[in-house]
Amino acid sequence: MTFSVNWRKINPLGSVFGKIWLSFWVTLLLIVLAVAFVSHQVAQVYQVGAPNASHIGLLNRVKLPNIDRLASDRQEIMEELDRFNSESRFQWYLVDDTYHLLGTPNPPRRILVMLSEMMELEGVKVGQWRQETWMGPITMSVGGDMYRLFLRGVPALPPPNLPLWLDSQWLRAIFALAVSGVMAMVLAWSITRPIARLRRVSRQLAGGSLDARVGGAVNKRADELGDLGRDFDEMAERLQQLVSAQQRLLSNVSHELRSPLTRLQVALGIVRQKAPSDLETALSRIERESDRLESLIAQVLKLSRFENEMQHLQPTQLQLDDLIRQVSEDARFESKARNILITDQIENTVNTWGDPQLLHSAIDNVVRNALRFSPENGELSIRLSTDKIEALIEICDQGPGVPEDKLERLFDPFYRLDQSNSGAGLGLNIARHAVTAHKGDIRAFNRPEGGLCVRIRLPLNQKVRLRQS
Amino acid sequence: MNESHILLIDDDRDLAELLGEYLDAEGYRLSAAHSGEDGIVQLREHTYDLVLLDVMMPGIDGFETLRQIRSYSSVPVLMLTAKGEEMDRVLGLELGADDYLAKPYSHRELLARIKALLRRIELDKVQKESDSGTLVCNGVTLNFDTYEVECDGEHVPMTTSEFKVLRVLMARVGKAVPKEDLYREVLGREIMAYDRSIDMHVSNVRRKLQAVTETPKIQTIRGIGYLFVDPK
Repeated sequence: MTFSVNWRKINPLGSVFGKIWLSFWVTLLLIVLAVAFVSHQVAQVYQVGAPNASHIGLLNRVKLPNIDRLASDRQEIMEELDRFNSESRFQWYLVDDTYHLLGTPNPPRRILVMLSEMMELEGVKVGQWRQETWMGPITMSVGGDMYRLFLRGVPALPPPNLPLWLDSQWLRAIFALAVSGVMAMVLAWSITRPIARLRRVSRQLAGGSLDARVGGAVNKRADELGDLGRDFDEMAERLQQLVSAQQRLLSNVSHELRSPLTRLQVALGIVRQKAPSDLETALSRIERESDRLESLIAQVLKLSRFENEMQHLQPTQLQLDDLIRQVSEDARFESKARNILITDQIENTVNTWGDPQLLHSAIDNVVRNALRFSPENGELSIRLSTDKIEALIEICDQGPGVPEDKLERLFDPFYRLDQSNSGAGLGLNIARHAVTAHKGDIRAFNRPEGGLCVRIRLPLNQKVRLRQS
Repeated sequence: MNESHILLIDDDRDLAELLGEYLDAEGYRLSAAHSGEDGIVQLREHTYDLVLLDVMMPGIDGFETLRQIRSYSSVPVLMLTAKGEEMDRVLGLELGADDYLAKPYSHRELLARIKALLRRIELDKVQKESDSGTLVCNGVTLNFDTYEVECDGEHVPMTTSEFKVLRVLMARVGKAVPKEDLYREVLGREIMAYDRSIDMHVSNVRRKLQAVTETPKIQTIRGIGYLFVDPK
């Protein structure tokens, strides 16, 4: 199995999947960023822990500000601290019993929150807030007043007990990216998968398999997509019923119309047996009209059946030359009585894809039409040739031809150039339907030497294209 | 000559009446059954020279009727199918109908087919008396007494028409037999345009033989007809 990425699927402009995925991903990422930002600003931002060896060492080394000797003169204490702090790597601060912070430079105001927590704990602690690391409290009394000393700028606490890989900002970002990406993808999938299924089934339905249903996983969903799936199946069911009812009607009509025609034919036979010979012309006329009625019914039925079939063509591999040879052989029998010469030039072994019955009836209808207009002792030629991409079928007669302005209309249903001819006017229409269904093209033109030519072009090797239609 | 007795199995009563009158004037006697079941009963009780069998009938259809008739009788059957139903023809001939006619048929065509079938039966009777024993060729054995076919020692069931196709082809082994001759000698009539009866009979024979043997026995000669392969 090969795995291929369909990039179109991810493109947010071209697919719902991409839209949902990307928008949810971006949203999730924004939420992560926002939460990180807010928590950084507000939530638990300081960290208090026990001092380690380096802190203790520092505490022993560092000089204490010289304030014991000062009376409880606040002004003096602050001046001394200022002086001390401006010269030292570390700064000392004092918190008095009214929780006022003395010392410069002024630390961020929020540091007091951390300091008050440190004061509540037993012994010396180290507190960290952003880049600020403080150590304390060290209790001392100056002139009877209690002060708590804090040292600012000590080494940072070891990082909290987070997994090592979460330590790096980059890794953290990638982790957030991956988790939110996968979550967004799962969400997008759960929405677009039933849509894809619906689409597949609707295409099957359009392709003529009327028993295609969404069913299964989609219809078991309780959400709107499940509703859509169930409604779709209901629609398909109804469609199938309607089409099969129509087909039943068609075959019933065919039977019902043909029975009276058969009776008419037999009744005609009886009349013929008994009628005086001067009725012969009238009887022939009745017979001809009833034949015409019959062929009309047959062709209307054929047309409606073909229209149905052409919706879902079942192409099979076929040999076009054999098919045309069969048509020409049939034409030869038919034309014997009128002594029409049928010549054919048929290329050997022309393989193509198509519906043999449709193609046969297309070519057969054109040939029969040509026969009908051929004069007695005339000639009718049938040719099949190919080049690399298409087969060319040409059927030419020596009939009267067709006025140039009527050539296009020849293929319209029920169009007859001459009302007295016995055809139903559907043969060429059926031919055009069948040829178009095979992605081909049919055209009629007058030959300069007289007579009509019908040219059919059929693309060869079009299995794939026919399947897709 | 005593008049031929024909049985029409068709649910169309008016048509039966009309056909009765028409065929009577042509010298045939027609009885009618209006359903498949009725037809089967009548065929058991009387003997007929020919059966006209409609395909589209309420109750059991023409095909089922034919299947049941063939289980006990080899009376010639002319199937009346709906026009354009290619499958109907194939199925009918496969089930052992002797010929078919598309509905609606002209009275002349019907009469011609009836005459052809009846003439063929007469010919068969004469031929049966002269034919006897077996014809062996290229591994296929025809037994004229029992109308049975064996291929490579195995029994191959064939309808009467298929048997006749084989007989005509094997009698001229190694030579192309024109379709016209096959129509005349097997179906007793001339070939017509859009007529595929013989092609269907031949393809049935081929299919049945292929089930038993690998080597093709019948070749198609394009534009002419068929040929039974001479092993030499």
